[in-house]
Amino acid sequence: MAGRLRSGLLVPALAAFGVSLFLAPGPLEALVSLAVVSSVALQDPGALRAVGRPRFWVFPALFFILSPFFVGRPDAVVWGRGYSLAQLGQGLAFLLHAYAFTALTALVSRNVCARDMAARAQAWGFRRLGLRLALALIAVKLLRRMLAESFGLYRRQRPGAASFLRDLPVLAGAVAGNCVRVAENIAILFYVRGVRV
Amino acid sequence: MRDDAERIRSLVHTTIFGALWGLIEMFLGGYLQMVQFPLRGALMAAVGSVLLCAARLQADRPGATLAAGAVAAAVRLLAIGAFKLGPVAGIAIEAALLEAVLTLFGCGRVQFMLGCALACLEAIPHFFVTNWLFFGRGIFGTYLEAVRQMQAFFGLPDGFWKAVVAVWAAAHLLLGLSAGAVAAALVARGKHGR
Repeated sequence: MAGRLRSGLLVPALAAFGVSLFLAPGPLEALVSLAVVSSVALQDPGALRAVGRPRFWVFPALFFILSPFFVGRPDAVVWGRGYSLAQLGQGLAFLLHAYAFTALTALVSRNVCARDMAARAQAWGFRRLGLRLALALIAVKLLRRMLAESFGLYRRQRPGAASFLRDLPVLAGAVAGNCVRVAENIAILFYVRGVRV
Repeated sequence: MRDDAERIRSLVHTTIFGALWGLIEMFLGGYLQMVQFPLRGALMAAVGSVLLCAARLQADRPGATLAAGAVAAAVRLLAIGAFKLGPVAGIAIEAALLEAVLTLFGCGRVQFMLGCALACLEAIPHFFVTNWLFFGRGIFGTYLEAVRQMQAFFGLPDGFWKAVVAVWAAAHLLLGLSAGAVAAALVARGKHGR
């Protein structure tokens, strides 16, 4: 997926989002947010689908739809109660801003590859940074397995909630100890292989 | 030769502890976010600051804490489908705060307590900054107005929300001090171990 980002579109989108942070909530801010969303759609429509899960948006939407009953000057009547349409408009602008932000971050996240970042850091002369990133990628796999084993064993030994919570420091100690062991093994391997840092 | 070995050890330990924090952020942090667990930011900051202190005990040199934090942020940043700018920024700021404390004052129980407390308190400005980023500039006016209306509805005194904010901040501080106590216990264990 790496390299799909087109900086010609990404940079204006980031700049537009930056500008929107300083605009008062209203039509102009909504327009700028819409431009950001359009830019994301042009570059990677999958990013919009990735952040479109309704479960994520239902609570903020409910808050902004219901809050005009209580907040803002009423300028309409809904279900026999005063309702502020101006406040609703502002709420929708907030939601659009949030959607633009989430879509933009999803776009970057979906199109940046860790291996590429490590290789690019090395190519640009940041050898230690490249080494760190590459090592982190390897370590994540080792640590994930170690965490799953430690947690599985801990859970089997302590089926009750009380003992599970009471002995959490034991789990923390085991995880930290295993982590040090993993680090020591890799450090020895680096030293033996003559890796220069 | 010895310096080479020490440099390798420092790089590997800070990277491994950073990767561990990134992983925990990915799974536990992601879960707490999903269930909207209260004080999840401070809770994750507490876990992270203890890990950073542990990494600093293994590699006590300036920049080590920041490097471990950068790795954690990178792991969290690149978690496929789990990208959230808030936690990534939080990790980076917490690591910078701990780095500043440990570089200025050195490693020790009091320094760990101070660093962990500061890292957990970071969740307070973090809330405001992420809300600003997420919803834009005007959101705080809406929040305040909603709070005022709720206070009036329930017949609560005018400044009640300030008391709620104070309790919220105290909870962050308490979590930070607890994390500091765990980190201080690590120091004690490290001294006995040597």
